[in-house]
Amino acid sequence: MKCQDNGFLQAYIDGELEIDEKKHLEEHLGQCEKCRDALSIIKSNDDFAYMKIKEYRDNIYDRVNNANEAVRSVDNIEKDKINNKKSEKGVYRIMLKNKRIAAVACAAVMLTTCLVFQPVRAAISNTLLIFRANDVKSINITLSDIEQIKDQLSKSNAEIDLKNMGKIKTIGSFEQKTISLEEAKALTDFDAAFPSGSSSTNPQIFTVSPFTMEFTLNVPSINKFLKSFGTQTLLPESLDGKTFTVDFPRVINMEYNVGEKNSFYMMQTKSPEIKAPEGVDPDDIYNSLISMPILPENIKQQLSSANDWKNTLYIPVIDSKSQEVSINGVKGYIMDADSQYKNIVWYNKEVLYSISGSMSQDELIKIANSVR
Amino acid sequence: MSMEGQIKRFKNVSDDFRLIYEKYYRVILRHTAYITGSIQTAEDLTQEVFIKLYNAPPQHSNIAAWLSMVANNLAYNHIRNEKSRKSKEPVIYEGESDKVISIEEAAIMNYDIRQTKKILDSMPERDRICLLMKFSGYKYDEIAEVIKVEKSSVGTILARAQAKFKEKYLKGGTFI
Repeated sequence: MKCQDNGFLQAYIDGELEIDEKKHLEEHLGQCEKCRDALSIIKSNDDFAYMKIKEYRDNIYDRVNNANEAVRSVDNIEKDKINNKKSEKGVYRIMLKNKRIAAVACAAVMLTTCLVFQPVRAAISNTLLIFRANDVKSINITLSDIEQIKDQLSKSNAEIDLKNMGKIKTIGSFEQKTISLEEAKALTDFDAAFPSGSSSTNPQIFTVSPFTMEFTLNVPSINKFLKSFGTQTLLPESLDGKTFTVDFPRVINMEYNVGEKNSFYMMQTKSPEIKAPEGVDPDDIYNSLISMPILPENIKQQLSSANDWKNTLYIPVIDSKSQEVSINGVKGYIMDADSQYKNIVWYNKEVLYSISGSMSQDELIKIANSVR
Repeated sequence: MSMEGQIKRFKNVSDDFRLIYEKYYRVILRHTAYITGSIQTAEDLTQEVFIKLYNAPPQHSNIAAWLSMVANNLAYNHIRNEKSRKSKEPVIYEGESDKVISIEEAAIMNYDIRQTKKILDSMPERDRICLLMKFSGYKYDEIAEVIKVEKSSVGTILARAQAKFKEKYLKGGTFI
């Protein structure tokens, strides 16, 4: 057999070849390094897409399963059938429900990020960097906490218009490009570090140029929202129309192949920096948000004892699926320690690092420790 | 189906419908939500599926297969027709500056899932349907039928779409 195109190799991976095609290809793969390499790249793309799309599908399934009130009764369908169009009632219910979901999302975001919105996802899912962090800490959240918040929200009849709470704007070119190892080492605005283990060579490197995001608050709307949940400490009117800026420094992403099939990703960046407008005390926002009565007591306590919140990166830990590890003598966290795909995050000398991959905890820690 | 069975069927149409509805509503909703990426759209499509079932019960021995065929067709048509809809919605970061996004959009919590959705939405409809169908367990001949290509091209489309997906994902990297 001659060398085959990628489509044929893909069909092989997907078990779509005829028996004799498969046999001939396997014989050929035994002799042809080029095709083996091509196959391993296609397989790694396949695994990556599978992993991400599965996660996406699970999320959608969960959201469908959680949207109990969304189930229209059979009677409604029967009415709809008579009119042969969507009933207004049904539409109204969808609207109500979405508001609730948005409110839940909003509250959960506040909870995990200590601000009204999540301005940045720097290293890992659901993470916010507030000010320039010089420490990482975890906040424990249990699923029953989240249930409790949902409960509280569904009891409230508040009219919430999230769209009016503010706006987000990005400034800058947001340029993304692939660079070589030499170019990465020569960057003037970032001193990149690399794993030094022998198992990994020739990373693929992507970099994202620095850019800025602006958040402008609509205080009356936010206060209306806070009030509807019984918050006593409202935002000062003086914050209305004020703009917070978040500067995102350069980000470097690398993908390393390990052996034939496996690979890991490493991300590094300086923490984003939040600039509050002149005359604004960010503590006002923080104090107002953590006094929201819908927050379960256990989270409130953790948040109010976080007196150094401006300099700390908080990693929300849902149902304790993460654990603390030590990377080169610095504190870090390993996320999803019990699942196959794990993620280590640590912070060292103003730079935030994250390494993720489908490997054992020890292997990941070993790679993290080798970063120089 | 026997004559007796048919009569019984019509007599009990309302009860049958209720049973089928209760049994399959969620299955259909989940699948259409996965294909279209929107629960709200999926609710509308799922309702449409059951209205079709109610108005014209099919002479099909496998009701689950019939429902999923109708749901698939509606969902794929929706993807094909959504270009006009898309242009009306605000876009989150397309590499351009000064984009404004609402807090509601920013509040979608999980970065990975948001990123996956964003990339799927940005793909040509053919590639997107191809990927989603493959990872939902469809075989090449079924995929080929839906996206109207030869079965032998499906592997090539998938290999490219997956490479593109990964590249975009890693490039889009660390934001949003």
